[in-house]
Amino acid sequence: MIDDKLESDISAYLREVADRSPQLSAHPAPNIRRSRKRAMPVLAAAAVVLVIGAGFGLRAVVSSIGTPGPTSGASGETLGQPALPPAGQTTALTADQLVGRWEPSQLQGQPVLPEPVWESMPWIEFSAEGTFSAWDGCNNARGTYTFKQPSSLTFDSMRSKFLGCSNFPHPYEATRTARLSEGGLLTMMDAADNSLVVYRRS
Amino acid sequence: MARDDGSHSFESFAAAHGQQLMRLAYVLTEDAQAAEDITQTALLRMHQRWDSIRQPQSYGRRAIANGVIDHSRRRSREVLVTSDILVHLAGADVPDAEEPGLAGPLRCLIPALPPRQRMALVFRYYEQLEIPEIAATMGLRQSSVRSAIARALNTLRTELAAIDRRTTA
Repeated sequence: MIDDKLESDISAYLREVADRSPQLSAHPAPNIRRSRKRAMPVLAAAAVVLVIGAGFGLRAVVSSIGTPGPTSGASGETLGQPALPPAGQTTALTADQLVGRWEPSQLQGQPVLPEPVWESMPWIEFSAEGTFSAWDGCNNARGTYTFKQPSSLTFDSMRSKFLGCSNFPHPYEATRTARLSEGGLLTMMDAADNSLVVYRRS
Repeated sequence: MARDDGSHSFESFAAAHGQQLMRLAYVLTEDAQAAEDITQTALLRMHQRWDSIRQPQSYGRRAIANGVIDHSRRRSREVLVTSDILVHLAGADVPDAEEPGLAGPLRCLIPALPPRQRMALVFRYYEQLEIPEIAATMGLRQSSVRSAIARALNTLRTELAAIDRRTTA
């Protein structure tokens, strides 16, 4: 009888704990696509699997498939002036200028702190073939991007998982344009031309 | 493919059972952030292998169990901070093991059980699984599961009796 009471108390306690469980986060990712070559139906699952935390938590991976943009890859696209802009101004950049490794300098106007906030300093690297790889200070990511006139930059696919640690939020989803600014800084901007992240050469 | 819960797509499974897996992860860890990470990782793995999963609920439970084990291993490698320091830092509401009522003692005693015993208790008394299912989920022999549950109950019984003696003395 004592054991029956203990077992029912345990069940009741565990149910109490379960009732305190937070809701599973969900976030749609309208601009991220699975990096599979064949098209697949849009996965509503992304809404369940995909989480974007405020720097912490897991952001997974799966996302919707869309039609690729008219121009994929960085090679061959033109754009703007090769020379660095004068102080305080931004200008378009060429595909060649985009290629290479960048590390974040500012996030929405605030300076990005160096290590030891991160396991090692976050970075994002663009290849001339239209692929990118990135490190967010905790997890790797890779995918494809499209860069076309005038300075339009979108991330088409991205595969990564973001486990619980200090993740730098590379703006994969919100970025629509990228421009060069003072000192050769790369600024990624959203659809309303708001600065998301400013990167410097790594 | 026919599946044990009748779901045909990962989307329908995730919609129907995602929160259930989250609750299981939370009961096992009592850590909201860890539970979220473990659940998202489990769902991600399920999505990647969906075509070959015939028993999604069992698979999901096992994925959560594996995630909890990985989590506890990671935690064991973290810097040890004494509970006094944590309480000081967080200004936390410290559970009182001798608080009367249902959850008072158990809310201290159950989290303090060894991970395997605690997990076996959760599958038995929260998920209401039978021993063979628990063994399959935890990757243990049935005798090991019975032993883990018996040891856990014995520990709880002993500790509760000691608390009872102190409060009635």
